[in-house]
Amino acid sequence: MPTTASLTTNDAPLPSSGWRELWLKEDWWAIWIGLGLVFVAILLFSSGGSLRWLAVAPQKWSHGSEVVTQLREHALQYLALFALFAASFGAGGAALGIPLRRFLPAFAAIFVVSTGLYFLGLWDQAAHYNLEPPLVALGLGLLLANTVGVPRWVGAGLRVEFYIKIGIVLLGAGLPLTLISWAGPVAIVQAGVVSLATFGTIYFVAIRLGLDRRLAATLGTGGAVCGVSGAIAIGGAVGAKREQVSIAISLVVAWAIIMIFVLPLAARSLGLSTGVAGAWIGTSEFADAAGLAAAQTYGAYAGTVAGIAGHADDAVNAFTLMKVIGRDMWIGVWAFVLSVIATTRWERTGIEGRADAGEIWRRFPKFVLGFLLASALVTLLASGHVYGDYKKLIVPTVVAPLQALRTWAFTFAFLSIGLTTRVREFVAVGARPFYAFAAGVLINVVLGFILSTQVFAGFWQSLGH
Amino acid sequence: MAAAGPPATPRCADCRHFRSTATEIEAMLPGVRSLSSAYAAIRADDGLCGLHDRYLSARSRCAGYSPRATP
Repeated sequence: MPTTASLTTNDAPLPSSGWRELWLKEDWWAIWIGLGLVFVAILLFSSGGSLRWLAVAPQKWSHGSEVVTQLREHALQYLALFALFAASFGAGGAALGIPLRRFLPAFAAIFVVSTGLYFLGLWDQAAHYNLEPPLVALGLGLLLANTVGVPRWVGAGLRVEFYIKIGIVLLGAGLPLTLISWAGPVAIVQAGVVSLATFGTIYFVAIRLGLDRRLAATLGTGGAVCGVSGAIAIGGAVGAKREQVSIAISLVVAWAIIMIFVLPLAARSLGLSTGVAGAWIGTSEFADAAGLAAAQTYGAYAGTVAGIAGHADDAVNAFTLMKVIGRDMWIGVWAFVLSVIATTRWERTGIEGRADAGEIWRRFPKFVLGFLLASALVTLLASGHVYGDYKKLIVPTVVAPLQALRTWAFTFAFLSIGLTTRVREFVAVGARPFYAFAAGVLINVVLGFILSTQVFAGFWQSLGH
Repeated sequence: MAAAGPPATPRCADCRHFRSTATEIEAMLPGVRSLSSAYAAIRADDGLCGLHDRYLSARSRCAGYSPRATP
């Protein structure tokens, strides 16, 4: 049954935000957990150890018996890894209000299924049968959620954004700060052009079709900036109706899931390099989790699909630079500007809005700070070593284990996307919002493709070098 | 010295019509958790107003303000 919670009056006291955000928002918990792991990895390295033992990950296999052997030989490591994730995610979840007794069994189920998906992706025939783990995780989740249903007790562990933000913070450890400062401005320019064009298209088509300005703005930022997060941020900033926010959420989720499958397929048929495809996905996907699923899928084609040049990580790295640095970071600015316009120029709603520059910080996706700090910490560690030593000493003992933990976090997220997406929960969006959003999708995809494959192609191709 | 104006209407954050916990938001906006989250920083302290059926910043104000009952 779809959730049909009603709005009633509320006499419970509202906790104030401010410093409490540090333990009441998942962005900050993503920083505490992600950066905590980076610190532990660096401390272990400094004392001659490594996080490698704990960051266990499946290896390539050909026959089922090899999977059993791997699991038997590394059983203790898998248990320790589960304990690490369960303790840290559970602590974060408890602080956010998800009781540990509900989170732990749910997370245990997610961990077991994710382990199976991780192994599946390392089968030497996986590429032959197109069994890319993100797509299998998503497909499996969608199938279960929309047919037999997901047991209620699993719901407590399905935290897509929590896992994806932790994964992005960990990803920062693999991206040198010098690379971010080199590629960041290009990502900002490219994403800025596409975001403005996409928002403008959706907004003006929506207005031409007679839709309310607040709905037009909510749809526009959902398509142009950061998907569902963009839609709810702007919905709140401009005071949209609940139904309008729901329409934007439904449209963004539906299109984002379609694009997870379409963008890698299109890039593959065009033989794009992993860096270029990652940049295109980063420009044209709507949500971080959906885009990372598409980018990781495409990255896996490197070395397995003929004609796909580049390194597997280039797709995820280019995507992250484009999406996180080029688009997500600016949501507070969009919210501030649109709240000023809404309060000064749009029709009155009987509600007095408050537009102030503090909006930029209040809505800033704080996990981005964790991503940048993780990058800075590992860059600082590497700065005392020549490149050869970095590759020989730091990569296998610090960077690679953190990358393995990141892959786990992303796998939990990809599985959770499918399991939390219920088609019957989509609201009836109507033809006009659909046309407006579809027009934006068209501009977004075409312009993103031109900028990634023509204007900045050389730049994204050389990202890994 | 200028005379103080009438006291401003209290903000939505303190109104009994305003629902803003993450659990409430995720229940009232189905689909929000599949690719985002009501626990996200970008949501700031927004919530749903039962009086106007709008999604609002907690800093908004309106004439329909009604204080929460003291616990």
